[in-house]
This record gives sequence, structure tokens and C-alpha cells, in this order.
Amino acid sequence: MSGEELIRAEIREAGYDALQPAIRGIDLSVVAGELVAVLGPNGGGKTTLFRALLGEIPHRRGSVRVAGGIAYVPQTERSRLDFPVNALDVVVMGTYPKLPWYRRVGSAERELARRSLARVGLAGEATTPYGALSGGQRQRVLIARALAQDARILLLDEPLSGVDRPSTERVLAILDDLRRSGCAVLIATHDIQQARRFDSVLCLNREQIACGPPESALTSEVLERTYGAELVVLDGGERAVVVQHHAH
Amino acid sequence: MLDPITEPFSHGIAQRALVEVLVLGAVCGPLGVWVVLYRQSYAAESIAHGMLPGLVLAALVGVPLGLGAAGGLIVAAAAISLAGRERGVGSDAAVAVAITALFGAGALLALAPEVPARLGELLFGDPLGVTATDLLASAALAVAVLAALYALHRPLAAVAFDPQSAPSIGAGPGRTELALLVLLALTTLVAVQALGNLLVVALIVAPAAAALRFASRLPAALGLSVALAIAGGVGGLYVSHYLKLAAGASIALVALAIFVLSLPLGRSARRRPESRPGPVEVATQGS
Repeated sequence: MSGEELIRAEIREAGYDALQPAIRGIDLSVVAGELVAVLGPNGGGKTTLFRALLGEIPHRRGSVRVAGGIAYVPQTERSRLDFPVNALDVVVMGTYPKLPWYRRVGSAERELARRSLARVGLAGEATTPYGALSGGQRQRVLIARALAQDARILLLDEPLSGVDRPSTERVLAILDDLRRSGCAVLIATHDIQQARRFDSVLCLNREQIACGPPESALTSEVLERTYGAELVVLDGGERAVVVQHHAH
Repeated sequence: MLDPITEPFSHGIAQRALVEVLVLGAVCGPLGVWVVLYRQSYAAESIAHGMLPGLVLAALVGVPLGLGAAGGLIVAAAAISLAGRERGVGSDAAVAVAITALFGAGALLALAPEVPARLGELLFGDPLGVTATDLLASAALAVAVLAALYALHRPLAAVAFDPQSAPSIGAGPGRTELALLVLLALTTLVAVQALGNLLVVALIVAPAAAALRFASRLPAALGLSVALAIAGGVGGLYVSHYLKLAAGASIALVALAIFVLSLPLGRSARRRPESRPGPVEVATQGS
């Protein structure tokens, strides 16, 4: 891949507390049209890395250069389902950063939001209350919100967790569409199987363990260092199982 | 013979009370929607209670109640932030401790023999005691709060929807929540004269909570909340006139009745989130 470089990050350390950096040693370059899995256990620093790229982290040593707008797609489980908005209202929020505070949302913003919804295949759900959509549909609405931000870089936080199989396929198809349109996409995931489907993988467990194409980056040794005690290696290293504990 | 609809408002006192509740409805309605969406109803209650010592002191010294209320608010905010700074004290405990202490101090002050017989007015309000100057002050503050709500509409919506992702669309959760608390304090200041220290929360929270049971989009929720708050205010004045009840208490009761009616009439809770997967196992072929 030899596209235009959209992200160049050399982060020595970053975190919320200057004395206890949450991540260190990141060396990342992402070009246009590249899909990068950010693989690591819960608490491994995936969201912190995203925040560092967004410039939202209080303590950051090193350099981050991003070309073009950058948008963040949060986990659907965190957004409120009782909030009085429909799908189109949520996507319109993506137009807020470019809209001066004294201007109302107008037809241009709504049109952009409609086009973004159509790109994720939800043109027909524009007026459906957000809370009444399925988990996969909500994920696509949030991706549409990022598209409405007119960003070339998208950071997706666990976009496939808690999403059923047909929705997973739809989200992956949207990611392919983004790749073709020259976006750079980072996908946080703890699922090794999913990580193999993308162009490159960044393995992260408080520090960068490896970064490169999945076939060379995802070695048993890298996985062991990425997942530590959560990784159970079976059959003499032929099979690796990650037991993910969800906090409830 | 006077029409039973216009008859309660045939005097200047009642006319001023009517204008006052219209102003209060216009500002408490939309503000309340945000207070409920941000789950800050407890803060609304606390802010109102925390200003009691300021109100009593103002009554003792003979300065305008609004001034005392403003002073009380500043002390309450400082007390909450000081208590909350102590390690191991949660913010809800900080609010509870600071506000109860202030309310107790206010009650002690109010028992002083020098306090004019206006304690009831401080606690329960008196929309019929509103002067033309009070009205002007209320209207000015209300216009300022409404203008701020208009200007902050987008950050308020983005942060309430998802605080984690709001910064990436230009809305800082910290400053947005702080701005909402300041607007809540200003609104409480506007409303405390008419509704009193104990009842002001009713007109902020009840109509908004009812509106949110009916409306499925923000503009509808904000508009309906204004309508219901005004209905509560005006309805309360009628109840007060015909049943010879205290006006502030009547308004609070009618606002509450509107909320209770919304429970069976409003639509039931929206669809619950799908259950999240429990412990998952991800198997893969090692290389």
C-alpha cells in the first residue's frame, strides 16, 4: 500500500496521569485506504490510543500528525437509548463541529446526514427512534454520524462487539466501502479472528507489542504478550483461546 | 357577573402572579428537560434547599430576597465542592452533607425572634406577593437563561447523548455540565420568590419528566415541557383561587398531578437494550 499517509504517530507515553502513563511506545503510520485493527485486552489502552490521536488526552509525550478530519465512533453500548432523538437526529450531530453556534441546523446539514445514513444502508430508518434500533443498526448510525463529520480518518471503538452476525457483515462491508473511498480506519477489537480480516494489526497491551500485516504480526509470541494471562494456548501452540471477562 | 375563567385575574396582584407563572413556565420547561436528561434532579432540589440560609439572612437584614438567594447559592456551591474534595466522600454524599447543614443553619436562623413572619414565604413562595420590579427581574433573568439554552443546545444534546464521544464533535462534557448547573442556579433564583425554597423543584422537574414520556424528539420535548409548566403554573393559580389554598403549594401540586397523569398516558419505556454477551470465548488458530 502506498497511499497518502494520514496518520503518523510516535507516542512515547500518554495517559490521564502524568506519573502513570496508560500506553507507551506507539509507532504507527496509516495510509489512505488502510484498515487497521487495534488488538488488545480490555484495559490494554485501545481507547486511550484513540483519545491520544484525537488530542483529548491530558498527558502525551511524543508527536501525532493527522491529515484530514478525524472522527470517533463510540461503542453503541455507551449511548443512551432513552434519549429523545431519531436516527437522523444522531447523524446530524456529526455536522455540529462545522456549524457556528448561532446558526440553526438547516437543510444542507440534514441532506448531508441523509446521504450519510444512505451510505450505511439505513436511509429507510431516518425517523426511527434511536433507542428502537437494533444494536447493529445503532452502530451503523454512529458510523454515519462520523461520515457526516466529513472525516478521512475514522476511529471505531469495538464496532463489532454485541452485534449479531448479519450486522457484523454489514459493518464490514461499510468498512470496505470506506477503504475504497480513501479513508483510513482504525478498529479497536479484542477479537483475534476479526483482526485477521484487516490490512494491518497493532497489538496493544499498555505498550505496542507489534504492528504490521496480520500474517506477520500475529505470532503466538505476540499474542501471548498481548493477552498475558487471559490467553490459553492449546494443542502445543496450534490453538490460542482468549477468555474475555466482561465487567458487569 | 365575571366569567369564572377571568375572574381570578381581575386584580393587579393576581395579574402579576399570572405573568410571573408564564415567565417561570417558559424558563423552567426547557431547563427542566435538560435537568432530567442529565439526571440532575437531585442537584436541582439541593441547590434550592442550600440557598435557605441566604434567604433567611436577607429577610433578617431587609435586603432583597434575590440577593440573599444568590449569596446562599455561592456558599452552597463552595460547600459542596469542599466536601467533595475530601477523599472517600462521593459527590452525592458531599451534596447531602453540605445541603443538610445549610438547610439546618437556615432553619436555626429562621427561629430567631427577629425574623419577620415571612418564613412561610421563603419556604413555600408566594406568587401573589410578586411586585412589578420582581417581575422585571424575573423576566430579564429568564431571557438570559433561555438565550443561553439556545446557544448551548447542540453541546447539551451531544453530551447528554454520549459524553464519551461528545468532545470529538466539539462539545466538552465538563464545561457543558457546569454551564447547565449555572443555568439551573439562575433559574432557581428566578423561581424562588414565587414558588419558595421547597417547591421550586416541582415546576422544573415534574413538567419536564412528563413531557419526556410523550415526546420522542428534543424539540417536541422542550415545547411540550413549556406548555405543561405553564399549565401547571396557571392551573395552580386557579386551584389556589377557588379552593383558597396557598398559591405556591397549589402550583407544585398541579405540576405533580400532571406528572402523575403522564405515567399511564405517556408511552411505556422505550425498548430495552439487548442483553450483552456474557464471558465470550474467541478461538483462533495459532500460527
